[in-house]
Amino acid sequence: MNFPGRLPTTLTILPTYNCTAACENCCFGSHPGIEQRIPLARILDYIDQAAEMKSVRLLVFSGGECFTLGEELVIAIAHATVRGIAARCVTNGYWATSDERAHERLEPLRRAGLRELNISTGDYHQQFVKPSKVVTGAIAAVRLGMKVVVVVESRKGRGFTAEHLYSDDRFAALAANSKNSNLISVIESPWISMQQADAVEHASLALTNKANLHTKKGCDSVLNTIVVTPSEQLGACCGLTREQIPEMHVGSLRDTSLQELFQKAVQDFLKIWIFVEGPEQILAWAAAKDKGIDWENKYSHHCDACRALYADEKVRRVIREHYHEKKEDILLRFALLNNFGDYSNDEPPRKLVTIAPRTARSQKVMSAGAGGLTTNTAAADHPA
Amino acid sequence: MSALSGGKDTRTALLSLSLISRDGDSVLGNVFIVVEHEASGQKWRGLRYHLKTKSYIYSALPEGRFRFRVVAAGYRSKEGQVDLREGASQSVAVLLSPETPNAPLLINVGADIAEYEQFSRLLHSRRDVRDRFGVKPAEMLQRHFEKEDQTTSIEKPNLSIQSELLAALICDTRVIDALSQPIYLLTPNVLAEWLESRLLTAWKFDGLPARERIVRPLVEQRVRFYVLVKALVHNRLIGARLHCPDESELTLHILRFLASLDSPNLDAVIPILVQLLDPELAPVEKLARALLQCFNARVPTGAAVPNHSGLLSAKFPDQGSFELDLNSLSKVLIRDEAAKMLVSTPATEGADLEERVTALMFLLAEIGHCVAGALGHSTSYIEGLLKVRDYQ
Repeated sequence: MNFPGRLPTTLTILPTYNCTAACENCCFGSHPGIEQRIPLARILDYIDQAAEMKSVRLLVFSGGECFTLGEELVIAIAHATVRGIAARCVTNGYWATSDERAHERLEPLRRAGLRELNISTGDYHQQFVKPSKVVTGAIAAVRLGMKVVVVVESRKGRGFTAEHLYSDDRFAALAANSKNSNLISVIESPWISMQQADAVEHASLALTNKANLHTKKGCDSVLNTIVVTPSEQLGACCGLTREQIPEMHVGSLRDTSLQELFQKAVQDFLKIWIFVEGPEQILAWAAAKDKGIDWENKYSHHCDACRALYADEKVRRVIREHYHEKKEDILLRFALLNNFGDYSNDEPPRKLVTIAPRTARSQKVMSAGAGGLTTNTAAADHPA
Repeated sequence: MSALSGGKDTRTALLSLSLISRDGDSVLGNVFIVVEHEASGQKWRGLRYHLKTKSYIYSALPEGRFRFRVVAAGYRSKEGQVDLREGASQSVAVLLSPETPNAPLLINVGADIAEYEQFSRLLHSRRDVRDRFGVKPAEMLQRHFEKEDQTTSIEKPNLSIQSELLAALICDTRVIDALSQPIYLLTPNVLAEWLESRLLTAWKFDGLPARERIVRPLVEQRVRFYVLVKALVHNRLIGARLHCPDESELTLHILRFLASLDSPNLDAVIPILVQLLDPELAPVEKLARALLQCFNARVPTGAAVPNHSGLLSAKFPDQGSFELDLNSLSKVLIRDEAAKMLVSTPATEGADLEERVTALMFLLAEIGHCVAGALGHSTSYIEGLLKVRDYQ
């Protein structure tokens, strides 16, 4: 059954969870000892399958550390570019050991069509990759005309913040250059615990509760971004906690096509509900039915709330027993949302003027130039 | 458990954890380990992996008893403990058992597909691009639900405010026009000229190219913002939930709002000012601030230098009486202790004032909650309209 209007716009390929770093609370527990990796031929096949869906316009390579793919990364990006799919890479910047070396790594990727580079950094990443490499990588990318987003871990009590990046003279100069104002931005993204709740603390203002619930939106990842994992499973979202949510694993791509699996995913009402209202709203709704559900002031990130939604047996029970009360309303809104997005596969959308940079989740964004934090959002595929 | 030979540091201990599945394979990836020193409570969570021994290494540990907890996706969490002597290196093999999965929480809407397709078919039946937004599919849907339908089994759904709002927005041609029409069709040129002159007065730009690159897009953003706020205030559903000011009052407020964006102090005090002086405009103010998240309506930080000597007052040609010395206003407000107290401790200025302010605060809370709740969603829908969640 093909649901009209709902097709993914982004394919994220996680070719490996192997990483040059081994950050505490890395969302995929990546580290140098992991060997599993998708063969290049299969990666190219997934890109072909995504291109056939016609709705996919962005390919994101993340991981793990996708730069460990070496030449294969260049080939895969060129393969996507030829098929009209833009590419983004998410990296920790370990390869930017010098200006020359960074240029050598990026220049073939740029020629292959890479237009955006996301570099992850923060207290945990810096135990393995110095901030100077992040800056070197960002400079090299901007010089090649790539858009660069530096993603800084955010949590309570952290040592390194976005402001620290600007204290690097080279980065400050890069950001201050008005020619680069559209090319470079810095995002602060919550670093969430993958093991015990107390492993990563967040400022109380960052936590979801009744007072700020109305600001929580639908998830822009589920059913919008599909993910190919190193074990060649299709994930229904690119969330940080996806690996810990079995329901977000749709099936194996080794025996079923990407499109077939996606169509299977989009028949799940709960995923549709998460897309429309977001996990926080669902948790709050469930808590209204069962007062024993504890959800306030616990979650700073969509994905954290989503993991709780799936893990809490009380929430699962309320959803099973009462979802039908929301069904019509959610399905109607889903239909409406699909109708005015440009996802429909049978007619072109009306051209709307874009008046804001890409935004998605509640994260802080600093535009080029120091200071001036504005509430803005950014894509969630930054596990590197 | 077996001791490894060696250990470079004779004072500290080393713990090596290897994780093994039932079939004898090493468990790698999506593994999260916490090692805790029982005596001090200190925890280690790093993933230092040793390739040769295929194990996770925790070095420079003090002596004593350690508890460890292993969480691995797809496996049951496992806990254990180990005693480390000073200078010792110990290896622990942890056998992980597959997790017994819950019954998957998947709710197949296959049975509801016919219903869903009715919605979609109605919406998608508008083949003409203009009709797609102009024929008010959501209103059609609502009419469809309201009548006793003889041709379909669809029952009238219990629509949430969010669904109503979304339906109301996507079929509102003023809203869609605000987002899609060229700006010269949206308002008279005089607004764009006024916005440009204000920007050039309030900021010093570094050279003509920067000015061109920054000012023009900003003017366009602000024009759209102006038109969109007006469209939203006049939207049937939103308008029904907030006091709809008269046109000139609304115009004045949005212009004042836009002007305040060039003055950080003023930007901070305008919401207070509005709550104090124009409580009925407070919801509009909230609406504008919610929308601002979708717009690049501010001068990018670092792209220009504030022109503190420049007057922030300016006359808008179509509003003969509209002249605001906003800087002076902000200074007055910032220095006005009574104004501050009015906001923070309303019960200080006599019964009348207290009653007035208390009533005002309750009213604002009520309206603000209602509107902000709705806008939290409308903002995301507008973002959807703008396709901002997509890759640009």
